[in-house]
Amino acid sequence: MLGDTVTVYSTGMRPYRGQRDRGLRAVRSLWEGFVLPYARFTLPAVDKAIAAFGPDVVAVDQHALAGAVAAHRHGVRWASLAPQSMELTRPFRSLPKVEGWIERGIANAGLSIADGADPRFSPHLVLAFTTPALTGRHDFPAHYALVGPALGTRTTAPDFPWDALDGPRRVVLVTMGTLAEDVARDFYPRVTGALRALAGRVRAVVAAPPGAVPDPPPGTLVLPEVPVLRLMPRLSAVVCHAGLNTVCEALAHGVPLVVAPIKHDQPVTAAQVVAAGAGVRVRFGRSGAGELAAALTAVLDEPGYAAAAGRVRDSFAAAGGAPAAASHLEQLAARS
Amino acid sequence: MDILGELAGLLRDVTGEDERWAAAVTPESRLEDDLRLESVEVAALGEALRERYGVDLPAHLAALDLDELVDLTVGDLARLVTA
Repeated sequence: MLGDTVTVYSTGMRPYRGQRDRGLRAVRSLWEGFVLPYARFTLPAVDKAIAAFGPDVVAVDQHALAGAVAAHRHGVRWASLAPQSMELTRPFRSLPKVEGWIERGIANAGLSIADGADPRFSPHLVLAFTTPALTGRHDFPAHYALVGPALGTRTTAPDFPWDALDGPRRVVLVTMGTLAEDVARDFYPRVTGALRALAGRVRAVVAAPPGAVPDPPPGTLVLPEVPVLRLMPRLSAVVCHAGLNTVCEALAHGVPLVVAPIKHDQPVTAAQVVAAGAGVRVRFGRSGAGELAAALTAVLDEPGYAAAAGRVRDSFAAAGGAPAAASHLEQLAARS
Repeated sequence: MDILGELAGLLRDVTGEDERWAAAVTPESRLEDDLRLESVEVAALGEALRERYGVDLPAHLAALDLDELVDLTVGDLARLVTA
């Protein structure tokens, strides 16, 4: 990208090569190939930033461990942010040696915190952008605040042919996430088959690069970028990879889901969607057009899915979102 | 029927794959990398193994470390159900 005349000096951070991994191999490569080296690599810079800026509170993504370690070093209170589902409900509870492997990895990378706190879980405040209506019932400690998604407003939205949505057909968004383009290549033909079977009653908007979706049924909009939040009020269902952002954007609008999780926390989120009654889970690698069409028909036709999505929407609205998260951080800063 | 054939049949049931796919299953086939089992399919396989052999797959998996889980093969399952 930079051209031949440019000298590139290594940062010491190897590029993450695990993008195609799934299942537990993806868990292993995420920690070995990204979370731990990224924490080691960013620690000196985060350390310097805290020293220079003198914050009252440091807000730390659960997978950006350097912030927790540096904040503790400087005696600054820190809050954990849980922007995904992996580190909140202990999904590896049934695989204790996997949990132990992650804990040992953190310790061996020199990222333990002196008072014994796990750098993924602040002892002061854990902010999670979900609610128990989605996570299910867990005994969250008192310093956990589940504030629902922090959707905010997008200042810029890509152009969209809104008139194309007019008419009696129900509108369905298909979006498999920006990181999944490569691995979703064999998913799109199956989902296209499902859309073709439902073409008389469903109009699909597919967020995908041009050419990725072969031969979509007439009227399907295939666009590389879609104004997802503005589109939500028009949608009857969303088909996605169960990334927490997309799932929460849909549920915040009471839109039921067909979820085809690929990896990382997506199977966890997909299971939560199913348990909440707000969608149907399909298999990303194997569900054929018939299975996908049946799943989509179910969430469109059986009112229980939309009703459950509506209950999650109400819980999100009551939880307060970004302003609630900000108040929690302010209260933490003010604590003496 | 031999254990490998039985397990390949159960795997075929939980995945919805065809006979050709099941015929290509060997003791060395890894559940994750080769057979591409997803977590819902592993859960369904656990149910099938419990019904057929009275084996507790989740308890067996709970005793394995991460590398062993990633590398789990059909041969490992065969040893589990014949133990």
